Parts: sequence; structure tokens; C-alpha cells
Amino acid sequence: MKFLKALKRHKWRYLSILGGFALFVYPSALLTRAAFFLQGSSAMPDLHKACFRMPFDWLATGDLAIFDGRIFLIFFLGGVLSTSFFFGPLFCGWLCPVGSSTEMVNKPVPRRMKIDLTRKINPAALRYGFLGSFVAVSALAAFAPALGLAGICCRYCASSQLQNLVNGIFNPGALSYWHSGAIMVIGGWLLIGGVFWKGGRGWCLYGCPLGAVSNVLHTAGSRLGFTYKVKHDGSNCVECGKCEEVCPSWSITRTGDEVNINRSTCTTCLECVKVCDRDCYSYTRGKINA
Amino acid sequence: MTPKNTKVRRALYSIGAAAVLVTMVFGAGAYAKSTLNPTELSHFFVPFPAGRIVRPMTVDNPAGGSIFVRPIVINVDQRGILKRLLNPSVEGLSTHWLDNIDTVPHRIGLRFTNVNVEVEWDVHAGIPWDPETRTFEVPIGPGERVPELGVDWLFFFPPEVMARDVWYDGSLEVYDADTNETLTTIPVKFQKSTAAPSGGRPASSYR
Repeated sequence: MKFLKALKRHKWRYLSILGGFALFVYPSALLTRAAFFLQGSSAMPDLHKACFRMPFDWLATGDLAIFDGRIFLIFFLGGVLSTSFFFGPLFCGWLCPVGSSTEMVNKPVPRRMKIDLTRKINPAALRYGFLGSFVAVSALAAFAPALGLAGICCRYCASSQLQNLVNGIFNPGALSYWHSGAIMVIGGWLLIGGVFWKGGRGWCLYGCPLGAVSNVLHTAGSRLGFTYKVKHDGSNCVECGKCEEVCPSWSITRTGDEVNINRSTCTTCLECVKVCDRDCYSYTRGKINA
Repeated sequence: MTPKNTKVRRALYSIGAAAVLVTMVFGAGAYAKSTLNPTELSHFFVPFPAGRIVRPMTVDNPAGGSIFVRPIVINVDQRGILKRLLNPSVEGLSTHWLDNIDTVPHRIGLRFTNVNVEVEWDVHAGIPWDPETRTFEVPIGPGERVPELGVDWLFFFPPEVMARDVWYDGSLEVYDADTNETLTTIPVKFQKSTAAPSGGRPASSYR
């Protein structure tokens, strides 16, 4: 029932999430399909082709030539990252099929079954710990092969597994092959980070380089007055805790009457804005504490 | 507990959580290198024409640099434990890199020899592919690579085959679809640790 209420309360966001599936996930994959059409390519458009992780792997290894034939990825990435700076990580909160699918499967799960470390750890530590080690492993795999490391970008790919699961709806044969990395990702992305993680955005916090870089930009951008960000005005706050409860990315913590919004993890999903019936939250321009 | 203590404790837990995560990422990279990449859905380069590949070697690419090519020997006993427990009877090979290292264009086809099990082909490319004849419909120019290529071959091993030491012993051939001339032959073998050595080294020994 709560789930249906949440859907109704924020219906434009959930429609946008459906739009994200239509834009990036096969069989529609409209954005990638359009990019391939413009390039005259007959390649199959799917979530894997619009991978937002690989470019960070390539950047870490200096393998920029691989962008040849995938120029559209530069536009996709440029759009996502510049939007993050000026408007917050809207792609993460409103379009990303990988993060939104786990958030959706998480909603009907009873609260007592969920991992909730919101007050115990700062989720930014997970996010940037992952980003740093992801880049380091990619670079070391390329430049110091004697260390015995391989890049973790493709072998542990949640996008591929989401696409495989969707393919399996149309063709069960697509689910016949699972390598160990895929099985681990299903465990880490869908089960631990999705079903059993408060908010269902675990993978976003500990497995997504795009999300981490988006939030670096959002953190920087939010300090400027002309950018959009979620703001909290405590004058009407009754400390009901609903905002903290609905935030899928563990970004809101309350200490007494003080509310802290963690810009390193906020996906600007605006669930807090929608749930607060005292209008304490707003998505607007201006200085953070103005 | 005072707010200051709470903050300190939260900071310490956060550092601990980040340390665990970093360790897991590095561990995942090491596991991928040592176990997953060589034995599960192993990816390999396919230059043509390169003749019969009898040992790991590099071939010059007229487009620049060189390409590493090797016989494919998959030791199914060295696969990851999750794979061996949950999905042992299907194994895959994959390539994204079909490179024409010749001075003339070739319209190529692909085929496996000595096929004793069901092999599923999943081929997607930026140029038209005919799944019936398993040939590309346009030639690949000298020094060019098949664009946006993704090929997965899935081998389905029935229990009677999995009971043997060698599950599959054949080769992948790249041939000119217009002349039927074989351009490259890459031996492919799926075997257990107990199989008698036959010249090839397990893929896991290639770095």
C-alpha cells in the first residue's frame, strides 16, 4: 500500500524511470537506436552499448581511441555530467534503469528486512572509496600487469545483468549462461544492494563510477548560487522523520532539529520534497543555507 | 553518548567500510585476472589472415601495433566456484575484435570445426551479419576491425560430455566467404585438469 502511495505521490518521477528504460534498455533502447541510426550502424542497441562505466575505465587507462564509433557516448556522458553540475544528478534519480530497477524491487520489502546503516556510516565513504579503487584497479591493470589485476568494469557489470534479465522476459534462452562475475553482480546489485538495502540504491553507492562522478560535480555545483539543488528550511519542520525514511540514497540525516543533506550521495530524486507535507524541502536555486 | 563521540564513531565506521570496499574491489580485480577472465566467457583477439595458431604469438597489424593471438584452452576445473556450482554445463567464448591484417579486403565467415555439442551463436555488429550462413555481408578493409562487434559463443555440454576429460576439441576458423579460403584457425579446447596435455597450455597461464 505504501508502495502504491509512493508511486502516486511522485508519479512524474516513476514515469520518467519508465522513460529511462525505453531510452536505454533493449528492445526499445531508443536513444542508442537513434545514435546508431545516425551513424549508419547496424549494431544492436542495448544497455550494454550505452555503458556509462566503460568510459571511466578507458579514461583510467588512456584508451581513448575506443571512443571511435561511439561518439554518442561522449554526448550521453557530457549531458549527464553537465546536468549534474547545474541541476544535480537527475539522470541517477530520474532515468537510470540500473539504479531505479533496484529501488523499485526494494519498495515492497518490509523495513525490518533491510540493511540500514544511515546513521552508522557516511555513505560518501562507500561511494568515493569505490570510485578511487575502481580507477586505481583499471589503471594498475593496464600499466602494472605484474600486479595480477584486471579491470572490474565489464566482468562485474550490473548493466549487462539488467539487460540479460530483460532479454530473458522475451527469450528465456538468454538466461542460460551465467559466469561467476554475473552471479556475484546479481548478488551485490540486485539482492544486497537492491532488495535488502534500505532505499534499494546500494549499488549506486558502492558500485557506480558514473554516480560517484556525478555527485562530485553536484557537490561542487551546489555551492554556487545559480545551480539547482534540494534545500531544507527547518522553520516548519516537526521532525517527523519521513524525509529520512523515503530518501533512497541515505542522503538525509537528522540530528535533533538539524537536517543534513549529503550532496555526495543525493540523486535529486525529490522524494523528500514530495513526502514533506510541511513544505520544508524545495528544489531550487540559491545558496544552500540562504 | 555525546554528539561528538557519535560523529567520531561514524567517521571511524565510514573509514572501515571504505577500507572493506576498497579491499573487495582489488580482490575482485585479482579474481577476475586469475580465474574469471581466462576461463569464463574468455575474450580473445581474432586477426585474419594469421594461419593456424599453434602457440601464443603476436602478429603485426598494418593499422599499427600488434595483436596477441593464442590457442584457446579452457580448463573447466579452474572456473570460479560459483560457476562450477550453479551453472557448470554452459560455457562461453567471446570476441569484440575481428581485425583484417591483410593488404586486401575480405568478406569473412566464421565456423567451428569438430563440433560435438550444441553451440549457440550470438553475433551483433555495426555491419550486417547473416546468421544463416554465419558470414558478414560486407568486406572488411585492410587494417580495419569489424565495428561495434560483440560475439558470444555458448557451448552447451550434456552430462555425458561433462563426464569426459575433454569436453570439446576443435577450432574456430575465419574464412573468406567469397573464396572459401581459410584465413585463420584458432584451436579451441574445453578440458578438465585431468586431461592429458596436448601441447596447449591452459588459458589461465597466459597473461
